[in-house]
Amino acid sequence: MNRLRLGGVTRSRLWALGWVAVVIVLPWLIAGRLSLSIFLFIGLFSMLAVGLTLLGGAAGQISLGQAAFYGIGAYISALTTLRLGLSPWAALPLSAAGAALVAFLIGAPIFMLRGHYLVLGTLGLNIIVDVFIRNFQDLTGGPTGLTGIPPFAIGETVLGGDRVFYFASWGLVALALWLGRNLIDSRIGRALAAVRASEVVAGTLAIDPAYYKGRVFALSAALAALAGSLYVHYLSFVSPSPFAFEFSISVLVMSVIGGIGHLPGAVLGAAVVTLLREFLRDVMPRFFRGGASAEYEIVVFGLLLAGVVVLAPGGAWPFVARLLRLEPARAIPPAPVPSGAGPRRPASAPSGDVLLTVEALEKRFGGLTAIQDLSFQVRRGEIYAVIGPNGAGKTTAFNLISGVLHPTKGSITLAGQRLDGLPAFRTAALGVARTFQTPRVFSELSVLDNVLVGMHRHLRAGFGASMLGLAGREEDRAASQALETLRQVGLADHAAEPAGALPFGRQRLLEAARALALRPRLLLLDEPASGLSAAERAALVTMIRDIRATGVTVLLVEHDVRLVMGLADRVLVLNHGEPIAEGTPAQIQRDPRVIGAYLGDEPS
Amino acid sequence: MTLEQQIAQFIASGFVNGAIYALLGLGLVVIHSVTRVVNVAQGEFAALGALLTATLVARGLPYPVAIAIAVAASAAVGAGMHRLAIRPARAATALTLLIVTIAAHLTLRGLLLILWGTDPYSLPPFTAGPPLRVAGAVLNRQGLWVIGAVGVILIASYLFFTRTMHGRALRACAVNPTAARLHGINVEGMGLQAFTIAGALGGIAGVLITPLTLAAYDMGLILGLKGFVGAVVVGFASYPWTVAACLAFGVVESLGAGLVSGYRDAIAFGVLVAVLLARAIAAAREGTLVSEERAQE
Repeated sequence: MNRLRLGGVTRSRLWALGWVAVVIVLPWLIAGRLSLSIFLFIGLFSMLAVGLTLLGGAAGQISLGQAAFYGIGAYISALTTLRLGLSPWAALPLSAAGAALVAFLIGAPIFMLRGHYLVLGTLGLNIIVDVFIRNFQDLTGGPTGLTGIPPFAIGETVLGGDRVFYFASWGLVALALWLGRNLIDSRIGRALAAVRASEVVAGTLAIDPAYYKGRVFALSAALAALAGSLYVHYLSFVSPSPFAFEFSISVLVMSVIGGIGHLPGAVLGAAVVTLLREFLRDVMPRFFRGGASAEYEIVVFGLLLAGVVVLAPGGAWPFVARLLRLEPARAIPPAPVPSGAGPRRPASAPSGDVLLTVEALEKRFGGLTAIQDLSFQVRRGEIYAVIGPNGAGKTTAFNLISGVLHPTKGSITLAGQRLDGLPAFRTAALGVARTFQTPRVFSELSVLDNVLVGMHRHLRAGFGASMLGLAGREEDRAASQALETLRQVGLADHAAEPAGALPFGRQRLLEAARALALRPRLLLLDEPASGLSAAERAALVTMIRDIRATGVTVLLVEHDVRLVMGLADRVLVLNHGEPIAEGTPAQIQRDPRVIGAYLGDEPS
Repeated sequence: MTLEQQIAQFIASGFVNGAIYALLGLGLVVIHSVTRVVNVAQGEFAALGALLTATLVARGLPYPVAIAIAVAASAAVGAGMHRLAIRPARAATALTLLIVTIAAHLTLRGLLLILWGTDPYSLPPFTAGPPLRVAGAVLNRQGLWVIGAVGVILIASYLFFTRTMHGRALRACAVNPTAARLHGINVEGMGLQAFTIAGALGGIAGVLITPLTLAAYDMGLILGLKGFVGAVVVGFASYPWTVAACLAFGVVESLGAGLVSGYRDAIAFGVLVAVLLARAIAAAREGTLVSEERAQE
């Protein structure tokens, strides 16, 4: 398998080199026959599309603002060189930074909300950018624009002409592809995949969804702004019309046609759309006489977009990759040699001091009270179980403790630290890990990657190191630790499989391994036994005892009363959102209120 | 005109615009609550209704007949969009469905362009006559028509959603599609109905606004965005509050545009960002239900 994969890598390297070679010789190939400027524009548009593909494919968000950021970059470059007299070399990074800042500020509120508000937010941004450019005539030159923007120069030598800008734009495209690929293959890329799959689950693994989405959005804006900056220094002229909303749509069409999940697809899509547009501009006027023949393109692009999304949602790149016999871009990392020194801690018995205190907790949803006056304490190192009939409020209690929901009243304290009101990712970072009633593994990711996502807070590589591919050593060490964790739950042999292919019971185990990878102080297990066979249940009991033996406190919600009685140190019984009994399993089994709640009260 | 009169004037015309946005906002909420799709093409229904009415009236059809045909056509296009674009992609992610509606927006806009060209079209007011004075503001008769028509539609849809089995079934799909399916409600069919209703609401909005402004093939996007502002205020969650938010937004926009001219459409975006910020803060305080997220996914 190792050899096959190597073969795949060399093959894709070869194709990449071939592509670079074609880009380099193209100006001489077409000299005298075709205009190079069209290929220059494909390069510029590729940068816009790569930015959008990174945002869509990695973060699962769609922006309709690429044209606006392209325009922001263009105008920052034009204004800083014309009005402030800066050198174009300084204007280039400045425009990227300016656009990234705008994106960051717009993204901040939008990304705290789930759902797809970014599309309409960026649509609005496009409109506002256009309105401002046209209205601030003194500054921007209004609809007629600005001329005389200085070109790039080294000393006295002016760097101008199609060829220079052709190589500059394609050089940046290659750089963007390389940085983007590194990013996707890193700790940050895994965090983004987790956010894309489910923000709630990502949050419970100490990943702040808004942080990662916001930064990828800023990155995509910076790429667009770089293209805009190159564009104005190339033309030495800028006007608002190329940055209209329609162009944002074109960029979306490029990304989707190329394949929103594949970075090289962005370049493919940019080429297809740009060439198709040129073709339509030749052909369309023959069918439609009159003014707006360029406007008719939108019908073609609309139908194309709809067709691709409905018929081939992956876009064109997967077909090309199959044709070139490329391995999937995101190869499963090779199984590393176990290090031997696992993250195990010395076994410890319940030490008696209190780890978790829940006091007078209440949660209401509108008029419905899910939890009322719930108070209990969990001691360090114990296995504490919460049982109760359906609708008793057990899962709500879990959601409150793990920060997925915030309580209406009351407090939650972990070792002296208040948890109530904290977002889930902060609660998780304090050492509270959880599983879900129905396992929610990241089914696109490999089993090993799932555990690596759980290790997120223990790894350091940030955006910079990840994009530059500098985190290799940390990644290797993390992979061997993750493998050790998988061994703990008996899934080490499945490390390379996609998590979605595991049977239900094993998904539960994987979810537990992912939670353990967080190295929590407190582990919340939400009905870990439901849906498991008798043999799997027995294995589960052993596993939970093993987990406790490593020093982790376990809080579990469970329906299987017999399992709880055999496993828990202490048990809390909830009914209709209120606690009705607490004690050792033996005490609980004799409690008349508990028997009443489970079997129905005797008529009095 | 004194400042008070001006302000009264801005409020009155803002209220009329807000009523139009409310129809678009309602369409967005109906579609979103039943199918979880944010319909970027919502404004195109309005453009179609407006252009078709203008043409039919110009051909000599009586006004009511023209409006009926145009609204029916908008509703049919809504249904067609569901059948041809949304249903085939129904298993896809929310992101994909969003891209589908963007594609529908482009296609519809392009078709409107081919059929009607780039020229704006006008419509006479529903009833002729001098404008009326209401509390210091001058309100033309079409404005009254807008407010009256929107009022009737709101009452009718309130009755539909609360008093009829059909309306209740639609709401049930919105709350919990799985449970609705288990109770024998055809969720796919409900999606079709939601798009039909949204198409009709959009068509009516287009017909109502055209005598006040003009109709053009590209009027839809901005109108839809403004309906969206109102829908976002209430998180696509409540019909009556969407209407209230749209009306309030119309007034804010009108006052803002009156005081700083030239930035009307920028105001919409400013309000949108402010609203998103407020909702983000609220969401950070409340936390999110796991089941809520599942419904969104």
